[in-house]
Amino acid sequence: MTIFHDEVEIEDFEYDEDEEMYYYPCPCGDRFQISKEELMAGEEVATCPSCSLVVKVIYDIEKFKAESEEIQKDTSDKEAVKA
Amino acid sequence: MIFSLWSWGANSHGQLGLNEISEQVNAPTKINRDLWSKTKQVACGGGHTLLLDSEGKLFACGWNAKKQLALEDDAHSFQRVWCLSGIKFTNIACGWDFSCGVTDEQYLFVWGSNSHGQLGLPTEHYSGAIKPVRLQVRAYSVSMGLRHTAVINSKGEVWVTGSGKHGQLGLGTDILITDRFKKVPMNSKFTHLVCGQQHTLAWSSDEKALYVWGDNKHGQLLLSSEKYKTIFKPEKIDIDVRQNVKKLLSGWTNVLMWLEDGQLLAWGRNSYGQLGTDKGSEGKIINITLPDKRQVKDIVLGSEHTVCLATDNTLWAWGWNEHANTGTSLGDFIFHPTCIPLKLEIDSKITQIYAGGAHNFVVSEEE
Repeated sequence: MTIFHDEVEIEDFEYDEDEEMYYYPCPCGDRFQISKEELMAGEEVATCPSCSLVVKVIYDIEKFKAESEEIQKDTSDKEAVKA
Repeated sequence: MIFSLWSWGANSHGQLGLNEISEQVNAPTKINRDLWSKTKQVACGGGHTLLLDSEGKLFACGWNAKKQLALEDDAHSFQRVWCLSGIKFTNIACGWDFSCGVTDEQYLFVWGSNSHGQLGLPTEHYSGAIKPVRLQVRAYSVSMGLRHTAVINSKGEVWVTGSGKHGQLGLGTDILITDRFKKVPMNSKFTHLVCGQQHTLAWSSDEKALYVWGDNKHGQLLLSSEKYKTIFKPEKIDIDVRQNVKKLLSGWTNVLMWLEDGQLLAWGRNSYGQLGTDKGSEGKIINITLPDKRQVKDIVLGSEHTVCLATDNTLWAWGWNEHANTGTSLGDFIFHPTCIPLKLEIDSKITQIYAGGAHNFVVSEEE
């Protein structure tokens, strides 16, 4: 069984739109990270590239998927308008 | 007199000032290239470090993604910050990815990340990476957490800004975030203040009382973590301390008080030995003692570890050790005060110690 350093709500992560990655501070000075793709696939463990600590991401996968699709739709709508 | 600066621990962003990036530095290592003569203070953030010299000049190294160094670029060795400013700082502090300096007139300058309003600047105008700004705030004491900042002003009042999602602002359940400093409604006069990851504690010397608010998931507020997960308004806690407090310190989720008579009281999370014991102890006060009745000369906390200087010039540490945070190579968790090997010159004395995140600094003086 995984021992989590913490449980962190998805809202508390910082999202990098270019990288499509979610980040949360790790006590080692680096950051826990998990990609949008991983979250969409139901993964809930965010890892730190510099140490062994892991945190559990608290999120509702159905809601997350719906919101992501919404954003995607918005973006493509805007692109359509531009075109 | 020769002064030396040493550093060790996590170095993923060059925060140790050793002119290199590495996963970690295992033992105290001397920094060779000093641009200053005498170190007055060092402050450690998540992945960055500030250094203040005895003339009030500021230096910085480490992670700079949010301009927390107040430099243009990252720096792996200490660089002079803002050399044309003419401002004389007397105190510095770091949060996770933000920083501050207090001037000789007690004015507070802030810089770095303002993602949650933790700099006390309106987020609609100040987003991204912020260069130093002088606030109309005078700070006699300042502490920065993961995403919030707290100060004590000249009247002994506590003012806060930033994220309050976990109660760390103490402004009740209506104000869960603010980007301007707001007064925490308490009538006492405060002398000591500290921010943890998501909690805040303040000590009133007049009243000999501790006030706590914020996240209590690990009993860091000395309340039952089962009953009280989050405290949104300051709670007065009677811890039966009737003497002066030398230091009130906090890791991410553990707290330590150093009393005038030399006692070390600690509480909160103990998953990695943060409390210097292997006994389960959440919600209880632990009395930490150094081996062979050594007395404490100074003590500092990182995110999940503690470093302590004894009056016999020995250094001790305990807590999380995955990045050699404690300066030893004895496993990932150090559950008891353990001696840090430091090869000092003869006639050298350790005079200052600092920790934050998973990294540390000490200053030694050679006669």
